Amino acid sequence: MKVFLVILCFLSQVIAQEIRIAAASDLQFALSEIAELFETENEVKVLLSFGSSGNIYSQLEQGAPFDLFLSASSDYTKRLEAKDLLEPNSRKLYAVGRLVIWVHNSLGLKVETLQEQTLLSSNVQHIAIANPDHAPYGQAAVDFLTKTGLYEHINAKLIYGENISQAAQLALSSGNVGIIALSLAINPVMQEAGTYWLIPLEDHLRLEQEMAILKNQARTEVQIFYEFMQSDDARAILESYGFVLP
Amino acid sequence: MFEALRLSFQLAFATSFILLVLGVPLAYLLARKRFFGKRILEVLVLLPLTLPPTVLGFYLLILLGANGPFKKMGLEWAFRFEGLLLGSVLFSLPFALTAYREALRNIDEHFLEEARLSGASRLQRWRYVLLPLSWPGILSGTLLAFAHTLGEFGVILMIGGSIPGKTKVISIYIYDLVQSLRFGEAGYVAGLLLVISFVILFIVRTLEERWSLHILPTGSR
Repeated sequence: MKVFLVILCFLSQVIAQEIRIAAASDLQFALSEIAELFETENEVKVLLSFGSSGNIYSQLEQGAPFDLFLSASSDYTKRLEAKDLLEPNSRKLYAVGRLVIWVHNSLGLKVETLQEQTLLSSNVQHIAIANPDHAPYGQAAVDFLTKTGLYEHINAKLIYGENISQAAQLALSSGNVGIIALSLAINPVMQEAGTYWLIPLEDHLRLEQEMAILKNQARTEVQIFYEFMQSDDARAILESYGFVLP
Repeated sequence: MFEALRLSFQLAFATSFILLVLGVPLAYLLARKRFFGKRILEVLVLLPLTLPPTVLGFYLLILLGANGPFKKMGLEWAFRFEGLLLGSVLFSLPFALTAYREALRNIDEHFLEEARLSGASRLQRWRYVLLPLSWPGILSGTLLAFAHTLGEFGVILMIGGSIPGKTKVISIYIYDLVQSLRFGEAGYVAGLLLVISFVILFIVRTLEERWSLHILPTGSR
């Protein structure tokens, strides 16, 4: 009986109009703001789940019930398309991600002037990046470290976050350094605890952030949100979090 | 937060209810019967105790996912409450079952023998002998499973997908709060969970204490 009640309760929630979005963790703050704005203008509930794009990709492959996927790279949306898991022609570039070196104040390092040389300082014990196996920002960080020849010098100091926002949290909690998304470094908590240096766009793997509607999920409200992501209002929010807009 | 807490409580209620219904008869078999393959069954039900949640979660994901073998039977339970429920039942099985088995094993065979001789049916023996003598142990096992489900994390991380109101239970909620750098809120919710767990375990211990006082001196009634 109790089980039936639970299931009933569960069903009643599915019937209400809502959009289920799986999003890359670099959108943690920007997308929450966009969703909030969207909810005030529309009678739709937006459910946000964050994770690394690769992790979300595996979940979608296993049939995770999401309507919209906002990836941090075009890699995973392309792979989903190849597997016929997306609505046709729904892949859309919505932003280009930026990478920064974030340094905790306690280290006393001037990252703006030291730039990537900051990483070589003996004050730095840990450098947090996202797991490059399944997080695009982690892949971009490794690419940057390889291109600058720093990787072999500092790889023993690398610590890995499950996704880019966990990497930011590790950098913050350890009082050390992180190679993280600009959109997270802009958060007040990170701003207060540290400073960052913006890595030039051409020095790392380009983070072409694509979104796509999942197969058979193109309901009206999903399409409205998909359009809203391309509206001036949403673009202004993305821009305020440091994203380069297409 | 309330959404996540409500979900965790729903999951814990449903899990302990299922464990109670399925676990007590199973524990009775393990405690008082001999049968072929008993040791294998004992090991199987203990397995979730030592397996990492990632192993259990991985198998469930593969079995219950979109490409799983049970899809044709409609068991596409990954990323849904039903999936979390199955995971939780398996994960808390050893806790509930060990307590149930001890409770049922400690009952003196003479009482059951007497009941049988005075013509009590199987149902009557449960009603008048087994349950009255074992209920504190059964209750404490069920509460333990309840508390354990509230604290479940790894399996749900693997098969849940962190969907608010659907699969984002309280432990995942805290995990996500930390990742979104909301340490203050995370600390508050974590503290709340600590208190809840303490209270439940306190009740469990009290029950166990009462039960041993009740059983050991005279052994009757």
